Amino acid sequence: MPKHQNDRLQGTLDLLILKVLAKSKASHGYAIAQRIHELTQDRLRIEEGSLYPALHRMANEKWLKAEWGVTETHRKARFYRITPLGLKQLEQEQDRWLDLSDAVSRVLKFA
Amino acid sequence: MSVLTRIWNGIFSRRVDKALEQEMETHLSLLMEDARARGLNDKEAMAEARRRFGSHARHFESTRDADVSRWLDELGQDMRFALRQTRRNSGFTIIAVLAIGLGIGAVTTIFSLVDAVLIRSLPYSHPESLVYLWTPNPQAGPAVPKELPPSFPDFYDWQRSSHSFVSLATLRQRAVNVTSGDSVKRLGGAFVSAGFFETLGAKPRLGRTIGQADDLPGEGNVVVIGDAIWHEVFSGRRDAIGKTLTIDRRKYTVIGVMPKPFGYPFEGGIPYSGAMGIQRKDLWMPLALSDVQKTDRRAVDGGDAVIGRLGRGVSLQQAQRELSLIEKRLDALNPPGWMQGWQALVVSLTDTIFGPVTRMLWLLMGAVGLVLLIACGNIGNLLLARVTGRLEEIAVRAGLGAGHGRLARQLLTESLLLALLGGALGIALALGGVRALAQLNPGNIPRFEQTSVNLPVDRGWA
Repeated sequence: MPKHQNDRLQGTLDLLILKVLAKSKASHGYAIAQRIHELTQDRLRIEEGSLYPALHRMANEKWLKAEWGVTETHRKARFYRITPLGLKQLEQEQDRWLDLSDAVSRVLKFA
Repeated sequence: MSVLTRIWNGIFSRRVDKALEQEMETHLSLLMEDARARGLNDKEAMAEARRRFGSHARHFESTRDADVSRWLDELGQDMRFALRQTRRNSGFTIIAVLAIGLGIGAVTTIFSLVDAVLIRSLPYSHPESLVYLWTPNPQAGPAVPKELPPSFPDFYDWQRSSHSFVSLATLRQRAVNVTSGDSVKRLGGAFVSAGFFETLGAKPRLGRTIGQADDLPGEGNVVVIGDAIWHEVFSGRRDAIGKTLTIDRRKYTVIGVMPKPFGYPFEGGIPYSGAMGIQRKDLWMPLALSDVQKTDRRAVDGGDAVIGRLGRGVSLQQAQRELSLIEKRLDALNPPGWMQGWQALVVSLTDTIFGPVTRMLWLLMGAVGLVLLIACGNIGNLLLARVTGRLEEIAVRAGLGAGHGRLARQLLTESLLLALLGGALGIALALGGVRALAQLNPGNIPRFEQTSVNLPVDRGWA
């Protein structure tokens, strides 16, 4: 499972998705993307297409549970919900991220 | 990802792709809606949606595979690459193409022979129930072959009193001179009793064949001609029927034209009977024997062979038993003082014609089949060895985003190119091989000279 540890960028996207889903009920990819844009005030440039391979991978890892549903605009879409396993993963990724950013800011401050 | 999920996704990757594709499409259309809501026109909205969605070429690649034009495009790319690859590894290519070419060439050559001699050779219906009827005579000594042709009286007695056969016919082959205009041609002809064509189950392509009414003394001036003469003398015209042909200075009326493959009896078709070096027959005329010729045992006259078609469900042994009984009775009728002790012998026509060569030909076919198999095995090994040397290249391709299927297709295209080159060489070799084979004609394999590389599957000689 921890094979994404070294892959910072991918880990970051996973972290963002998990975080968004932890705070909301089931969401579809578009909603997740909009939410990320909102929260980052469009400062993080994510290719929205990259969301889907990530979502599928995370569903395979059982961090997310996916279900077909209908959006408020009556479109067929897959809705993703975070699982208890996903919450645990979120906690780990969050700790790791905070560790890393803490470490990097220390370097930037004192080096 | 667990191993099981991996396998599951491997099997159902199409489904996963479909789901992914659908989700992405929804996403794109939502992005466009959003852009339009902000006042962009369709084109701008599309561009905006594409930009935000980003390049997901790699993922779409697997879904776009279904698109035929793209598939062909990639095939073209692969082909060009394979060609370059082939040129760069010319040593490998030459060896592989030679191996395939030799294998295919050998198999095609021998198959052409088998096809001409065994498969295409009998344009008769149900050749398995055709038999030769002979009258061996042990008193003639061991040097005389068993396949002695029956006398005319024997033949007509058999025809009257046997029940094992649907029909029987006797024939005599002769080389004849055919005059058309100023030119005289020497051709193979056969004088046959009524029922000859019926026995062989051979139908004319035009007109009719020789019937009872033609096979009477004084009526025998009709002729059934082969396809070659029909084209040569009558330029393949339908009104050839009723025209006159001068054969050995007698005038014959053409009553029928046989289809091209029919040329019985072929050289070697009747054992121990000189065919005068004429490989096939092109003319068939009635024997038209008189009553005296049919019954006079003192004349000791007979045809070159008697052919028969066994009745439905009659075995060779049953026919042999019946004929032996009849012949015992007939032998007593032969004039005293003449040789006695004639017996009857029924043998399968196909065994007689092909018996000695059938096994040899199939053996040859099997041998060249094995050669091809070995060639394929060797090329398989060569390719495998080459791929091991190309692992680096493949790793780079995979690293640049080529999927499993895409990589496999690339390698398959290269193999396909090799196979095509080898096949082309094989056909060229077979064409030469068949010509070389013709030089080796031992002369005793019927229809050997008709061997040709058979391109169309169905030549439609019916």
